[in-house]
Amino acid sequence: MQDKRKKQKYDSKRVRNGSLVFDIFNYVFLGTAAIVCLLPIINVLAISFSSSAKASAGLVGLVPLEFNLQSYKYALTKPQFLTSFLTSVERVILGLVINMTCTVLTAYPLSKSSRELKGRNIYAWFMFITMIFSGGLIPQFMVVNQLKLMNTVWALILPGAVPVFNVIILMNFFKQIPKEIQESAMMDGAGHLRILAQLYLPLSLPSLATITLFTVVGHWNEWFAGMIYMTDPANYPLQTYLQSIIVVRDTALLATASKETLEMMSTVSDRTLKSAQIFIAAAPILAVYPFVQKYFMKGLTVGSVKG
Amino acid sequence: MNGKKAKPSSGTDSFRKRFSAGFKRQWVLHLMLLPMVILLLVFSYYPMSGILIAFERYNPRLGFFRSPWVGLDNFKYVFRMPNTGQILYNTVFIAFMKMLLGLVVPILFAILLDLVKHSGYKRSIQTLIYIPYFLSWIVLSGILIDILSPSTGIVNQVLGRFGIEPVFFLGNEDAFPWVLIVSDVWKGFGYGTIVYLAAITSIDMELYDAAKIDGANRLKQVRYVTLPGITPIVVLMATLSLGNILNAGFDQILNLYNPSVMSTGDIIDTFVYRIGLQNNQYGIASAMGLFKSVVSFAFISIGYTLAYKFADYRVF
Amino acid sequence: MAKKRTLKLLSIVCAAAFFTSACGSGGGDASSDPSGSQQESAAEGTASGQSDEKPSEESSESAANDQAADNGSLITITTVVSLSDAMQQYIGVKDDVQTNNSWYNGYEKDLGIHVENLWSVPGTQYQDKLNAQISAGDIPDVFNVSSSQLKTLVDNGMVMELTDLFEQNASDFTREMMEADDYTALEQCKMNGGLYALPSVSGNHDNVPIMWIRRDWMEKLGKEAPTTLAELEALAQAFVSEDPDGNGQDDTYGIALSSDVYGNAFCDLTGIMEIFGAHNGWVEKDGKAAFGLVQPEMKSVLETVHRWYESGIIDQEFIAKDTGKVSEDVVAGKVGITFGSHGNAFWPFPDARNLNPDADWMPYPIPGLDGALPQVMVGGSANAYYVISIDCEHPEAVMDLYNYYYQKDCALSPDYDSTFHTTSSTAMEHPEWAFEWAIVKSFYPQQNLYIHRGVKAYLEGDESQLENSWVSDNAGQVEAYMNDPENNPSYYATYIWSGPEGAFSVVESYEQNNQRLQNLYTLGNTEGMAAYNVILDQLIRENYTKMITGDTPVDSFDDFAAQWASLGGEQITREVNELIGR
Repeated sequence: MQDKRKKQKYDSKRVRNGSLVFDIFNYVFLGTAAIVCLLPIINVLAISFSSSAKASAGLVGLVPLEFNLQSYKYALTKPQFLTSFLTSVERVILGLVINMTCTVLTAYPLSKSSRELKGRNIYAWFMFITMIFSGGLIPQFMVVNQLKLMNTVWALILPGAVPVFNVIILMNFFKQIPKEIQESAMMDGAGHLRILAQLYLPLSLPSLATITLFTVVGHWNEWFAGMIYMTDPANYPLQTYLQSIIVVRDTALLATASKETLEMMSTVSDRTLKSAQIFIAAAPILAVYPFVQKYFMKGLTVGSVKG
Repeated sequence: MNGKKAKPSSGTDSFRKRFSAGFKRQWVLHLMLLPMVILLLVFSYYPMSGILIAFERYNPRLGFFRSPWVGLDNFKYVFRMPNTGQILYNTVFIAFMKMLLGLVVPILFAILLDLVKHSGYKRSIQTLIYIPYFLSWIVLSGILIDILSPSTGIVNQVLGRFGIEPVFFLGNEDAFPWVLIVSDVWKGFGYGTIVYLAAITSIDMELYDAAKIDGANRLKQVRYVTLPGITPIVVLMATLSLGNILNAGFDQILNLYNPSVMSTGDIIDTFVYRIGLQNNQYGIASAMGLFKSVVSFAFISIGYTLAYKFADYRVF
Repeated sequence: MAKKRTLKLLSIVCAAAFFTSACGSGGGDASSDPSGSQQESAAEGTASGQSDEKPSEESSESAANDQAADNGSLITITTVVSLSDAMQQYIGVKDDVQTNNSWYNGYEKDLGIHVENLWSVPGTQYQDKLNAQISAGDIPDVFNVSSSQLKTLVDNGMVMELTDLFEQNASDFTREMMEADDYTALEQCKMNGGLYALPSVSGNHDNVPIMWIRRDWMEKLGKEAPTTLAELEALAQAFVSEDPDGNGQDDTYGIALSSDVYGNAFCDLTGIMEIFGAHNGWVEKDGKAAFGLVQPEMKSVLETVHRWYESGIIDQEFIAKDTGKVSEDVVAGKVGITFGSHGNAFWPFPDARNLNPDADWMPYPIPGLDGALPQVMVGGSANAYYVISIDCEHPEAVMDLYNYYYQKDCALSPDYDSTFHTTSSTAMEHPEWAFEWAIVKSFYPQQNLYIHRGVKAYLEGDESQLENSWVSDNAGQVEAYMNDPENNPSYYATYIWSGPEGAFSVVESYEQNNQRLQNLYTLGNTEGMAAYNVILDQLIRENYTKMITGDTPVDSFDDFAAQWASLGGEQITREVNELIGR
């Protein structure tokens, strides 16, 4: 702080001029960066709107060639795509409720000091260790199997019901809330549950919005559990279904397809169809984000400024 | 497991003698933690018995507890493999560079964004740079192959303008790790930027005002107000990411690597995947996985201690 | 990566193997040939006459059988299912088709066996899912595995030995099929002297490399199909430099190669290797079995391919292109020569022709060195294995299922039943007929060659060939295409597959000229293979790729071969020689 006192000699005009040049540079630089980030999406979009011939020949760049909506029509009338979409929605809603409940219920006690909660550090390590050590896929699979959760949406939700990273974010946010608020409420005879529900949660909206977005994105994008735990493709969440069609092309189709299918396939190539499905799958998240964004900034403060 | 639960409750007992109202409060807190404890016991701790596979010649028919014990044979195999050293080095190098650039780039962007006065512009930029974060590596790798192509890729066309010979990014051993690092930063920096921007906006405006009165230009303001203001969160993020020292990005590499860049691009996770789920060598895959967990745990502990000692910050 | 390759290979092999049931809409559509079409529609008439009654009959019966199952009079066999794209489409057309189809209903009615699917996943995810399931020790009564899974399962005592079961329960017709295969596939199912699986036979006649060339480009440049290495190189060079697509741009290359440089069956080195007498498999050297990929012949292959890479015959970016990407180049008309298999007739060449009707991909035999006929390696006959869980209570029922498939599916069988397959015209109407629903499938090992010979004989005037439904399906399409290619583009695939100049004419030529070379080792993984294949596979890929691009000189091949031996190759060679008794 003392250092800064010395800087008064700066010519204010020069500073402003420097600022203008800097501002222009800054705006252009950030704008360019933003556009670069968008290019891949534009490419996917362009492919999804292009004709299959151009797309499968790899000719599509940033502008659709031979614009058409075939792929979207095809994707949206595919029964498997729709059921998977709904399964994903179900998973996101249930998963969100359970994850958020666990996060809040865990973060609140852990935001207390060891004095207020005996064994707090044991709980914290107990939780933290699961972030690092795991038995691997095989035993987890066996547990889900033994609990008869196979082929249910619970198999996708319960094994990851306690999102440790989110708990840490929320816990740190809770820690920031002045102790005095809690103490005065306690004086008035409020219990922990009431304090949590009526004081902490309303004060933590930004943080809650942030981890809500994380949870939604996480559940929406996850595919591996869907593949391992679902015994019937009809119950696949969307990303698992996408993975099954994007990663490897099933070459048997061309030999076994009917003439009608072959005709349909010649207008709807794999590539345009995949792109359309990718975009439809990404759209809900892209649509939700701007609404959460205003909370997002505050929510990620992680309470660290206070230290 | 009982020991863990018994300890807090015995603590509660002694506490009750002193302050019964306090007990009531604590009791509720312990109850709140119960779902977490149960869920983790069932879905995380119980499956940890699978770690035994690392010390066994695992036979699915016999299970974890009856499969023949081979001691450290699987570990010996892993460490005798000629490429283990290279795989470890690749993993650490790629992961570390991702962590480092994953800190620096978002901080830079956050500071630059903070200096933007037009709030609409600022918000649009934020939204746009965050978008790649939502896309899977399957999609992004397809795009990377296109744009990095030596003949038609836009990146090489731009380099060509500056008279630089085309670089075969995905086929060149030296370039490949950097493709991984840069593309990872590209995917994730929007998220980081928002985190740091949030931290910057929460800095007391009075500090800036004071600095302005002192005649500090923007660079100086950044140097003396912004940077110190976000140091705690930088430390926190760095600490949290230390645990990722062996997470070099499985999804990404699996979708981008090819035989000619194996020597610089193969990491622990891709190797475990090839040997475990594709070749059914459970013991070796498990040994490698356990090794990774132990190292990660050590790094996290170090990070935790450092953060506590030097930044007086408790992560959890 | 290994998984991906296997899947692709599998699907290509399958595409070909079940071609007959799939592609034959027969003469019904082929208006061009009156006599053929009449005969065909008569046959179709009978078939569809049956079909009109069958489904309703079957569905009521299956309801009855469900009750029977409740009464415990049926034997229940559990299995898991890998769903092909076609099967997923059928489910889209008819919800319950997966459990209510000709096969499942036939199993119940004719065999008294109720099949229960524990799970079913899209084919692309089958391996990962099954491996998780195996490692958790939770397996169904009967399921389809790869050779490395077979070894894991046998080593861990999870599956039954079937030697006696097969001896006692195999039907006569099944035995005939095995004999037609020279027992190659059955041998592949043996470990430690015992039979541990029932083979899914595809026939080793099919697994030979074929050279595919853009005939239109060749004709445009006034060239002939190459029969020697020198001619091949000249043609490839012409495809690079003489603008074969006539667009005035230098945007074509000669020979397609993907980043999966071997073992991929399409756009890999395997076909090129045969030219030089190098083979992807076990060859005889000094009376012992030796691994082909590290033999000195391979050095000349890599030298040549490196030269091709330098001169632009090979795509400069091949290492960033997997088979899917390379096939995009094929479709886009950027390349003129590919080395693949007969299955490529269905993928990707029809795509190329759809995009550009001039694109005329035709199959040719692999050229030789200095005009000598090269040998082409053939491997095993089984492309997958059916194993029976050690806990299965009715292994004999599984054997019944195996016999039943040959009985109903094989067109040589007296009990051949047309409602157990679909054709392209009936697939969407009667998805329940599809052969895919059968839970164990195994084919007549020379089915595809048989079809080609039949088609050829028919075109030469032997009408009696049409009595066989495999041949009649193909003959109709091939004839239609030959008479009017413009209006029958969808029969192009059949034409270049079983037609007189099709892929199987090449297979036939290998047969007649005695060019087939048997891979000395076709059994499952040895101890050493299980332990070291991951490392060795990577070593080979890395070295080949680098030698082709020139990052490593080909001169270092001997060092590489020595490294291969020391990293486990020596042990594997010893094991292989022990197992085959050399």
